[in-house]
Amino acid sequence: MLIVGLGNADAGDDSAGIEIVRRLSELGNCGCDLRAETAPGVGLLDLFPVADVILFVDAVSSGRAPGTLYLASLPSKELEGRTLGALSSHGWGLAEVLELAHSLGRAIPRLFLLGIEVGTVAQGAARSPGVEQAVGLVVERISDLRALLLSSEVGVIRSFVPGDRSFPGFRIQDSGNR
Amino acid sequence: MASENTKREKAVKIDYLTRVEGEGGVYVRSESGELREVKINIFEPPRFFEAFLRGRSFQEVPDITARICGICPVAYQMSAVHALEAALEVTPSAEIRALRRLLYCGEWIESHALHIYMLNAPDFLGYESVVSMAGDHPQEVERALRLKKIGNRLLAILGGRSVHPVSVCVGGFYKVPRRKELESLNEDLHWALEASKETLSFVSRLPFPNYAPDYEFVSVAHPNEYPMNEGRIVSSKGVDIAPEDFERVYLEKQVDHSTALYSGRADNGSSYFVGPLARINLNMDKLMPEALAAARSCGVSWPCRNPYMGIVARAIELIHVCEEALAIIEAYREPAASRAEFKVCAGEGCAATEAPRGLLYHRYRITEQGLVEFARIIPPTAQNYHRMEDDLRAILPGVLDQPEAQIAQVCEKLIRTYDPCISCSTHFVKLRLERG
Repeated sequence: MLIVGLGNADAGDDSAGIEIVRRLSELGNCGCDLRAETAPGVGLLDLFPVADVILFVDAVSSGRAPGTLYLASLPSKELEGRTLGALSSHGWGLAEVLELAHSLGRAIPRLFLLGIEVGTVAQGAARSPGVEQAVGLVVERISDLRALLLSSEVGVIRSFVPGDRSFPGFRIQDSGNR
Repeated sequence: MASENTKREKAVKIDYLTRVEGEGGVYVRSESGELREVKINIFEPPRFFEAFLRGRSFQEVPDITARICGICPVAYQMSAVHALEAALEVTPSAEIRALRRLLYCGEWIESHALHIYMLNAPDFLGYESVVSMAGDHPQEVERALRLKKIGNRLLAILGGRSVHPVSVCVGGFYKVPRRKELESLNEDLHWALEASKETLSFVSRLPFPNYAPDYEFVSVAHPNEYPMNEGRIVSSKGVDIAPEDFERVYLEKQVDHSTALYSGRADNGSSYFVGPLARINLNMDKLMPEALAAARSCGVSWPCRNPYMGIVARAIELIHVCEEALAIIEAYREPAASRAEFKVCAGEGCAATEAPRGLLYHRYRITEQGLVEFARIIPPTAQNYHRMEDDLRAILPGVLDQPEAQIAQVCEKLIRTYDPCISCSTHFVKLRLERG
C-alpha cells in the first residue's frame, strides 16, 4: 500500500496530508510506502503502477468543522464536485487524472481518499487545533486504517467529526486479524 | 459563458478561458453585426515579483523568479542569470553555457509536449479536452505523457528537481552533473527524438484555418545557434538590436481591463508576435539537421504566418531540442569549476532568452552590495496579448452571425495557439492615490 500526502507544507491546514506522511516516515515501520506530492498533476498517473492500493491524504473543504475526517473509495461521484476539484493544480487534479487513466485504458489500482476538513489555509499559518488533532489521530491509527483498506472497500463515504476516536471505524484487535 | 442581447447589440463573454495557464477571459461586443469591441480580460491578481525582488541579494533572483511559472521556471532563471551576469560583467565558461542550453532543452521538451497534445491538439480534433481525446487517440496521449516525463527528468538531473529547479546561480550552477548521470538520459532522449518526429507527422495533418496576417515576428537571434539563451533581438520588420535597446523599440503599457501589461512597438504602437513560429521564421537555418530536414519536408511553406500552425513549429522545435540535448550530452566533459568567480559590484544589465512561449526579457540594477535596486520582467505572454486581440478583431467579423458558443470557441482556439501563460504575465497593478 502506498500513502500519498498532498498539499502545501507552508499553507496552514493544507499541510495536513504532507504532515501525516512526514510523521509516518519519521516513526518508520508503518507497513506502507510513503510519498509527499506538493504539486500533484498529471504525474500522479505514474503512481498507479507502483502499488495495488493507494491512499491519497489531502485537505478538503466542505464547510464542516475543521479536522473532520472523510474516508472514501475513489472515484466517488459525491466527492468529485465537492472536494476533488480543490486538488487541482493548473487544472490537473486527482479527478482529471483518474478520468485520463480511464480514457487511456490504464490499469487503476484500488484508490482511496482520506480527506481532512480545513479551517485556515493561508501562507505561513499554523494548523488549526482540530486539524492538528486529526493529523495525530490518523498517525496513531495508521495500522487499523491500513488493515481496513487492504481488506475491504469503504463503500459510502465515512465521516468522523473532530475528536471521534472511532476512526477509521475498524480495529485490528476486534477483527481477530492481529 | 454569458450573453445579453438588445435590439442591435450583441455581447459574448467567455468568463473563464480554459486550457491555458492562469486566469483570463474574453469580451466581444458587436452592434448591428459590426464588431465594436474585443478585450482579453486578464483578472488573475498581480503578483508583484518585480517589487519584491527589490532589496534582495542578486543571487536570490534566479530562485525567486523561477517561481513565476511551474511550466517554464528555467526561462525565468535563464533570463535572470544572463541579465545579472551582464550587470556584473561575468562570463560563464563554454561548458556552463552548454549545460544551460541542456537545461533549457528539458523545459522546452516538457512544455511543448504539454501544449501540443494536452492543450492545443483537442481544438483541431474537436474534443473538449485531452481526456476525451485520449479515448480515440491513446497512442498520441501516451506519447505526450512520456515526452513530458523525459523533459521533467532532464530538469531533475540538471536542476535538482523537476519543477522550479534549484541548481542555477549567477556564474553557473551550484552543482554540475556527472557525465554518467547525463548519459543515463540517452536512451530516453533517442526515444523522444523519434517521438518528436511522430509528433510532427501527427500535427502536420491537422486541419488548419486559413488565416495569415502580416505579423511582425520577434525573437532572439544568434549567429551560430538556434535562439535560446543569448543573442540580439531581431524582427521580420527589420529590427536588429542588442538586448539593451529592447525597451527603446518595444514598450509595455497598462490597459484598464487587464492586470497584465500590453506590449507594442514604441514608434507606432503596433502589436508583434513572439513564440515558436517567430523563432523558426527568423532562425530556420539554425535548426539542428534532423529538425531542419523535418521542417522542410512537413508540408509547411516557410516563413509561415498562420498562427494556428504554431503547433507545427512547436513539434519541429521538439525535434530540435531532443537532437541538441543528445549532442550536448555527447560532448559533455565535467567542468573544472561549476561556476565562474567574480567580484560583486554595482551595475545594470539586461538579457533576453527564449521561453517555450517566446521572448522573455529581464533587466536588473544592483547596488555595490549586490542588492537588487530595480527589476523589470517582460514575459512572452504579455507581449502577445496585443497581437491576440488584433487577431480576434480580424477573425471575428467573419463569425459574428454564428451562435455564441461557436464564437467563443473561435476565440479560445485562436488564443490557445499562442500557448499563453497568464500567471506569468500578471505582474503589474495601477496605484490610485487620493489625498485629502
